[in-house]
Amino acid sequence: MHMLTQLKRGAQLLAAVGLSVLGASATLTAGVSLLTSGAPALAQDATQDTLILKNGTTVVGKILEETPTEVRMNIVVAGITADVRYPKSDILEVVKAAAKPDAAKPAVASEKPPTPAPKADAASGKTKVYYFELTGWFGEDISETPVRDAMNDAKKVGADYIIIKLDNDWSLRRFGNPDDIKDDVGQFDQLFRAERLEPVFTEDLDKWTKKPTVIIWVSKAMGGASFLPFLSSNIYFSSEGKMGGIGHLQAIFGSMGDKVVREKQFALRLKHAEGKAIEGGYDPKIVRAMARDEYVLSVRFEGGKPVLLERMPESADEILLTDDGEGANADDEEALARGEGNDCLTLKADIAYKLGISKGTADTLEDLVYQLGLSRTSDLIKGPGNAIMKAWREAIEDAKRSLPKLWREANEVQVKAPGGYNERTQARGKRKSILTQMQQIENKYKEALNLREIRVPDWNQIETIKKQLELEQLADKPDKRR
Amino acid sequence: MLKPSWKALITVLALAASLLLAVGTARADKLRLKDGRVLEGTVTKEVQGYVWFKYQVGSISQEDMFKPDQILGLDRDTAPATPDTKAAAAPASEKPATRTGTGAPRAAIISLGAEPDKEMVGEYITADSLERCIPYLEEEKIEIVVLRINSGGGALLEIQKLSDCIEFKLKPKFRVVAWIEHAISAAAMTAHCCEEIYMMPGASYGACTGWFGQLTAVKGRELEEVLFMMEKISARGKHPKEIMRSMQIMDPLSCTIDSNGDVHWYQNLEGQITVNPEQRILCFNSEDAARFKFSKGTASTYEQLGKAMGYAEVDWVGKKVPDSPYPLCRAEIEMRKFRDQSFKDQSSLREYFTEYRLSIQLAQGSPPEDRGKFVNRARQALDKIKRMVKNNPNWALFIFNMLPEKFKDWVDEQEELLRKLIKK
Repeated sequence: MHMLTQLKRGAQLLAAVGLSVLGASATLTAGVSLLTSGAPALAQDATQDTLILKNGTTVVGKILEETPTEVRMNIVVAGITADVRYPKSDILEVVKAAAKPDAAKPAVASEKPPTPAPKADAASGKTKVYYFELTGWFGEDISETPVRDAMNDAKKVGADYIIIKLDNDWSLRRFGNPDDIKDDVGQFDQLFRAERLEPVFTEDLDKWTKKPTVIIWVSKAMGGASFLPFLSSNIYFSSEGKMGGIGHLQAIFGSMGDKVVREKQFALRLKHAEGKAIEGGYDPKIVRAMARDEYVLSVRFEGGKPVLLERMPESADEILLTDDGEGANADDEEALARGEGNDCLTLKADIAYKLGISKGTADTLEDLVYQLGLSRTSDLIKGPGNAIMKAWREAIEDAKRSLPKLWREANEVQVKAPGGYNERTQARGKRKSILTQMQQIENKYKEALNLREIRVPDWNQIETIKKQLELEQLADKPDKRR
Repeated sequence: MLKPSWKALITVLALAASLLLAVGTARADKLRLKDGRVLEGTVTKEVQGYVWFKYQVGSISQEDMFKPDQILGLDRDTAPATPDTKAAAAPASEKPATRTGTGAPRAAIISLGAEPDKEMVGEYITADSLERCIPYLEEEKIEIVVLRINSGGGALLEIQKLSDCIEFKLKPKFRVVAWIEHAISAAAMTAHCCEEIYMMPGASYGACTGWFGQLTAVKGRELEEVLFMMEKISARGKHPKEIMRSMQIMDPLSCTIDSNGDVHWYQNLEGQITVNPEQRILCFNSEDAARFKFSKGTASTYEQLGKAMGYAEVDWVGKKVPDSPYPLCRAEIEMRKFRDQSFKDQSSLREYFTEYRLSIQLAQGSPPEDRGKFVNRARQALDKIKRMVKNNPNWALFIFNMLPEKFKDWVDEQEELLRKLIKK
C-alpha cells in the first residue's frame, strides 16, 4: 500500500503541472509511466540509469535499490522528483550509468547497494549501533531464542545499526579433540537448522517501526552458520574470516539407494539453499560452487563487476573458482592443508570482496564502525546482546547436566516403609513431579537440545509414562485393615 | 382480424419463443488477440479484465485464460458472459461474490503445509481438509483463492485427490493461484494443476522423484503410472509435460526462448539453454522459474502478489494478526486448526494407545463391580482416537494401516468389547 500511496502522490503532482500519468497496464504500479515515451532508447544518457520496460517505454533516473523482485528508482519529470517501484516482471533491461573509474580502489565487485547512510537519533543526534557476537556451537549456542532476544533488546533501545559478529565453533573440542574441523568437511544439512533462525533476520525485522541495518561480520561462518550471512545484504569479513563448510553435497548419502533418488535429494537441498542467496540478493551460483564438487565456476571482471561463468577459464583474465574435482582436478592433501582446495568454494575475505559478497574487510570493531562511516556519529551499545547469548549457553549446559540427573532420580524413587497405599501414592506423586520438571526444561530449550544424545525421553514419552502412573494410581487401593 | 387480447397473447408468445431461441442458439463470442489470432467461442468467466475463453481446436474443445495484455478486443455475440455452467447450476449463495465498494476483488490465502513439522502431503496437506475450506470461502464471498504452499513432499497417493479437488471443486468457483514458499516432490505435484504459479524469492519447486525406504526409487509399472498421472496433471495446469518429467526422472531438459519471448521446450539438450543436464533431477529456484516462464512472477508479500497478478488493488479478506505475514480468513483459520489438531494427535498417539490398552487390561483384571472407572478411561481414550481420525481421515491409513471403512469396523469392535466388560 505504501508503494501505491507513493505513486498516487506522484501522479497527483504530475496532474497538478498538467502532465498525464500514462498507465502501462491496468495496474498503477506496473509502470506508471512518469517517463519518456517511445521505443526503447538506443542511446541512453550515460550519466543516468535507465530501465527499458516490456511495453517499450524507457525510464531514466537513478536506481536507489534493486531487489530480486523490483527496482526502486528516483526520477524527475518537469522538475518534480518521485520514487517509483517497478516490478522486475515488467522490466526488459536495466542499464546502469557508466561507472567512473576509481584509481584508489582495486577493481572489485559489489553490485549491491552501499550500506545505507547513518541516521541520527532525534534526542542525542547520534546513530545507535548495537553489537553482539554469535559464538559457540551452531544450532545449540547459536539458536533462535537468544538471537531473537538480543534483537528485541536492540529494538528496545532503538538501534539503527546492528552489527553481529559470527564466529561459530568449528572445532572438535566437544568430542574431546582439540583440533578444528577441516574446512572441506561438508555439513550441508545444517541448512534446515539455519532455516529456523531465518525469521529473526527477515519477518521479525519487518515488524520494526524503523527497520535497522543489519551487518553480519564474518569471522567464522562454517557449516549451517554459512547460510546466515546470506540473510543480510551487508556482509563484512575479518581478514582471516571464512564462510563455507557445506561442500561435498553429492557425497552425503554415499552409495545408498538409487542414484535418481540421491539426485532428487541433492536437488531439493541445493535449490533450498540457493533460495537463501536469492533472498539476500546474492547470485545462487555461489551456493552451488560452495556445495557441489562437480560444479565448475570461474569469474571475470568487467568494469570492476564480477561476471560468473559456469565453465573453466578460457582466457588469462578469467579466474577459476572451483573445478570439477575429478581425476587430476581432485584436491590433494597439500592444497587442502594450505586451504587452497578448489573442489568446493570456501569464501575468504579477499575473494568474498572481489565477488561483491563482502563489502569490506575489518579486523576490529572500531575499524568496521569506521568503514561504515559511523565513527564520530554513533553511540556503540555493547554488552546486553552478549550477556543474553552467554546466559543461553550456560542454561543449555545446565539443562544437559540436569536432565539425565532428573531421569535417574525419577527411576530411583523408592516406596518408603511400610510401603502401604499412602507411601505408594507418595512415591508415584514424587516421580510424576520429577517428570514434570523434566518436561518444563525440555519445553524451554527444545530447539537446542538433542535428547537422544543426552539419553532422556522426550516430552511425549514422558507424557505416556505419567499416564501409566495415573492408571496405576487408579488401580491401587487402600490396604485392607487386618 | 385478431382481437386485441389474442394479439397481445401472440406477441407475448413470440417474445417468449425468441427468448427461448436466444438461449438455445450457440454463442459465438470473438476474442481478438494481440498475436493476431481471432478465437471464436464462449466467454466462460471474466475477472478484472482476465478472460476465460472456451473454443475449438479442430475437434478438441479447449479452455484458456487470457490476460488483459494479450487481448486486443472482445466482440460479444449476445448478452455479457454467463458464469460457467457449474457455477450457473449452483444455488445463488455459491456464486462468486458481489464486489466491495472499492471494486477490488476479494482474495483469500490458504496455507498448505507449515514447515518444519506440519507439512507432509497426505498428513497435513489433504484433499479432505482443503475441500472443507470451500463453504468458508463461499461464505466470505471470495473470488481469488491463493494456495500458499510450504512443504517438502509426502504421499504419492494423495496427489490425485488434491489435484481433483483443486481442478473440479475450487477452479469452477474461484480463480486459483499457487504461491510457492517451498514445494518439493508431492507438494510440487499438487501445485502443478494450477495454471498460475507465483514464487517467493527464496522458493524452490520440483525434485519429484518417488521413493521409499533407503532411497529406493519407485520403478517399473508404478513409475510409469505416476509419470502418466503427472502428464495429465501438467495438462490441467497447462505446463509442458517435459518439465515435470525431468523433475521425476533423470531426463535432460532444455529450452529456446524465441524473439517473442516464447519458450520452446525439448526433452534433450538441443535447446539453446540447458535447464536440466543429464543425470540430474530438476528443481527450480525462483529466478529459473521466472526466466523460463514457468512461474508468472515472484512476490515476497501478499501485496506484491496482488500486483504481480495484475491488480491495482485487492481486498485481502481476513484478520491481520501479529504472527502471520498475511490476513487470516475463516478458511485459513480452520486449516490451521486442522493442522494443529493433527499434530497434537500424531504426537500424543502413543499416549492415547497406552491409556486405552492399559485401561482395558486393568478392567479385564478387575472384578465386575470395579471395572467401571477403567472402562470409562478406556472409552475416553477411544474417543480421542476416533476424533483423531474424524479430524484427519488419512490417519486411518497412515497410522492404523486401515482403509476408513475398516477403521470403522475396528472402532465398532472396541465399543462392543467395552460394552461386554461393563456388563454385570
